[in-house]
Amino acid sequence: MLENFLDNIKAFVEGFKNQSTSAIELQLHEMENSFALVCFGSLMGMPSPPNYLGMALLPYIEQEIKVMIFKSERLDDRLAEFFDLSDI
Amino acid sequence: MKNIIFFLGKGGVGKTTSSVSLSYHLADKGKSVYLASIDPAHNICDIVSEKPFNGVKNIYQNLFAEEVDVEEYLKKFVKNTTRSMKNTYKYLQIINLDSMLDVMKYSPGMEEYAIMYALKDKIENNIDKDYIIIDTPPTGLILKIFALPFTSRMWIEKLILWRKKIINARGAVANINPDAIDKELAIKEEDDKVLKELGLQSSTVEFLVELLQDRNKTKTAIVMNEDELSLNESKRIKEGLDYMNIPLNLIIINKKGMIENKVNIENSFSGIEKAYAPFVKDTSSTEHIAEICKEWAERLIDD
Repeated sequence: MLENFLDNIKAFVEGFKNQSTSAIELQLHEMENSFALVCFGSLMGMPSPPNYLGMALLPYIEQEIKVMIFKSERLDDRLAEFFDLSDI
Repeated sequence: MKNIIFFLGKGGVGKTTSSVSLSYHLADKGKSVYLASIDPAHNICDIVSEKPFNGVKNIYQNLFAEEVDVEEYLKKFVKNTTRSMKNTYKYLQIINLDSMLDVMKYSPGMEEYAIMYALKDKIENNIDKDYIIIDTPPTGLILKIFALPFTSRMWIEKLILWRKKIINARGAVANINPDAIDKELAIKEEDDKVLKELGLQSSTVEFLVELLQDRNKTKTAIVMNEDELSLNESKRIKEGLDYMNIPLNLIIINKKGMIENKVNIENSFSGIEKAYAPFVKDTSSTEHIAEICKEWAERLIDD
């Protein structure tokens, strides 16, 4: 019984942990997305650093590019994005 | 190094001739001089009556000249990036990455970057010379090259701040919930390759910004003729230099007396010293070339 109780507490803490980081993760993905967008902004007409800077960073920002492409793909489905953000 | 002297101006006004003239003058005084042309359309070799040469060449006494190969710097940059790309993105082996990135050489701003990088490299390699003299490309390009370290510095500072926020956020997620993030992403600031690359770029631009604004070491001279076009363009150069807080030391009015309808230069460029240089028809001997800078040479050098 005590074991059960402890398991429940553990599950509660895990759930709490997951919830607490989801907001930071969301913010992190937005920052990664914007970082990649800024590096390659000249491709879409955004004010951007000189091209060579984007190119010099290109080999090291795989994660940011992944996030940027993932986010860009979903841009035409804002409702789904909203539900996702709201955890619905 | 005592001074680094830049010759700026409209195309064809005599920047190369003036820079070669001053170089000969300094060499005659027993100084060691490094003369570099960063204009992609070089013509030092024509003026010093040499065959086109690669790399540094000792052309006179202690005078070393170089027509900087900008293309080589671009190729090196693209090659290094391609190599790092192949190491990071292993799955890209199937596409022809080399030719894809090779096209980047022609994107806007890349030539300016290559020249900026070459400039830093050449100055660092010749810091032991008494004087470094730089013959620059015409107005449009040189103003962009001079502006590049300033704009890059602003972007690099912001990108570094942004990157640090990302690393902190990744660290926070990894601390609370290690399963939520890839271990390779949760690293310290000092291990982050993006921050390292930004740091390297930052050191290049800081070096140039400091040097360009150093009023003791850096001297700039605008070379112009007595015609309206070169006067207007020289005014634009001055505005550009003022904006970047780069000192302007001298206006050289070259080929004096050659233009019939000469413009009034005396009322322009208030507060800046002006000097005249004769039109020298025969540039086949060093004595003739050295004559061009007789009136103004001492105003550009600290000796």
